[in-house]
Amino acid sequence: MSDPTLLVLASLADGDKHGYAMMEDIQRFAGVRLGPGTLYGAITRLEQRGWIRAVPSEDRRQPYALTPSGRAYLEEQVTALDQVVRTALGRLRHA
Amino acid sequence: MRRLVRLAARLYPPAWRARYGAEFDALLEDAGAGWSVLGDVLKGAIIMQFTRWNFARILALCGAVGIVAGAAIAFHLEDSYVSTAVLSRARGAMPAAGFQRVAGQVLSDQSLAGIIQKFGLYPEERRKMPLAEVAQSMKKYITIVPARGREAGPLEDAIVISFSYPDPAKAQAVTRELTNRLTAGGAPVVTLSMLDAASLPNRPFSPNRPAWILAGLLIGLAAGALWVGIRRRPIVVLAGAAGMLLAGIIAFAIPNSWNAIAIVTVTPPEAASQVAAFVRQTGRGMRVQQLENRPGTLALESTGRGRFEPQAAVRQFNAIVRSSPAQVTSIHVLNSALLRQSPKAPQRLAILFAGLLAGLLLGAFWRRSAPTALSSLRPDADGRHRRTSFEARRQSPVALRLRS
Repeated sequence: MSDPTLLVLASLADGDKHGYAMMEDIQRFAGVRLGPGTLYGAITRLEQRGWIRAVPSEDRRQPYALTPSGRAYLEEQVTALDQVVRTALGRLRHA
Repeated sequence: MRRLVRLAARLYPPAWRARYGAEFDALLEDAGAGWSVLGDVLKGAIIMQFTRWNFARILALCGAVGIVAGAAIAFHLEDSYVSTAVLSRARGAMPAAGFQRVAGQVLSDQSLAGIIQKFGLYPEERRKMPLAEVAQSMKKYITIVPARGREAGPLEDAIVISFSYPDPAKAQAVTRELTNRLTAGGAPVVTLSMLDAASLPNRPFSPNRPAWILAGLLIGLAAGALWVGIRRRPIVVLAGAAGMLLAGIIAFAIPNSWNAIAIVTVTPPEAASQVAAFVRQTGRGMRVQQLENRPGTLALESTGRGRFEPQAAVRQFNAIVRSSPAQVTSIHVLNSALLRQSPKAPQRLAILFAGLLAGLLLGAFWRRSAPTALSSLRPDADGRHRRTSFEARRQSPVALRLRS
């Protein structure tokens, strides 16, 4: 799984984070180091779609949070992925 | 490196910088600098620029790229000069088959190999391949054809010989040699006389550089329009492409239909209607029509599946007329049946265009009549994005990705 938008949504699923925190978190759980340009490309798209929103902050590091529609989209995606993973694992065990 | 990364970050669109610039700079400070970061920031800036560009700017950029590419190709291609000579054959003295035999001898590999050696043509090609192969490939730069259309004028028995080569003097010398060999090869059976000696071209025939640049511009604009179309109206563009593909399959499934047309005048003119009636009865599908303003003049058309059949059929007109009961004293060919370069039907470009248009219209209609829940992603009046559970169920990930 290397879709930056999905990785950002997954990173925000357990709470608000700013850009650098997202980069570190994504590297930890997915083993992928997103570059700043890629990360902010994803953030821009996700905010335009209304799936994340900026959380008011005094810091230059702007935190973001998942919106309900973003959470719904992430759930859809994860459910679909989960189905694929279960099927693949089941087939591998029986092969 | 940090400085370079900061400079790269300035390449993002101003509107984007106004919204995300401060936090992006903060991220760059935290993330550190390196070649990979620099590359990633540059890539992001380019993508963001294109994402935010309007239709006109994208078209202008693609058109400019097309012009540059067209110009690069045009100026990369080697100049080619064409020298032309015109020979006249004595009417009736040389049947078509006789001339074909003479032309075949002149264009034989052995004859052309002699010309190549005599004038030192194609030095680079001769280093890479045998002389016979060079002679074989030389044939595509030689044309020996009957004068046609406006060029022919009253000289319906004229033959045009031309040769193209990067050196104008050599192009002229080879054309002169070809005409000499044709004249000498035909004698004494075939009488060929020089009407127009081999010309010395003073400007290249190809490449047509303005045409290349114009083609680059048009292809660039079309690519830009397609790109914007796919980004903004993917369903419509995909429907157009599908329509064009379907039309292409249909167009290429339709067999070719070829035709040949000749215009002849029969003497006396009063015999024309009798000849026309006879041809309709016995002409094996040949269509014949009397031209209204030119007494005694007939237009003959033959159609067939093969490229050469119609021409052969029309050229049998003389024999058909001779066997008719009409008292025809002479037949004068105003316009002989020329071999078509492309089939008369189907008009594949027109079919492709119609398919594209139909696809685009259907796509646009479908998009208007079946709106998805995508519209629910637009911000509400208060700027928030909300969706009902019903819309959430209707909205497929594929549709969402298409919109992105």
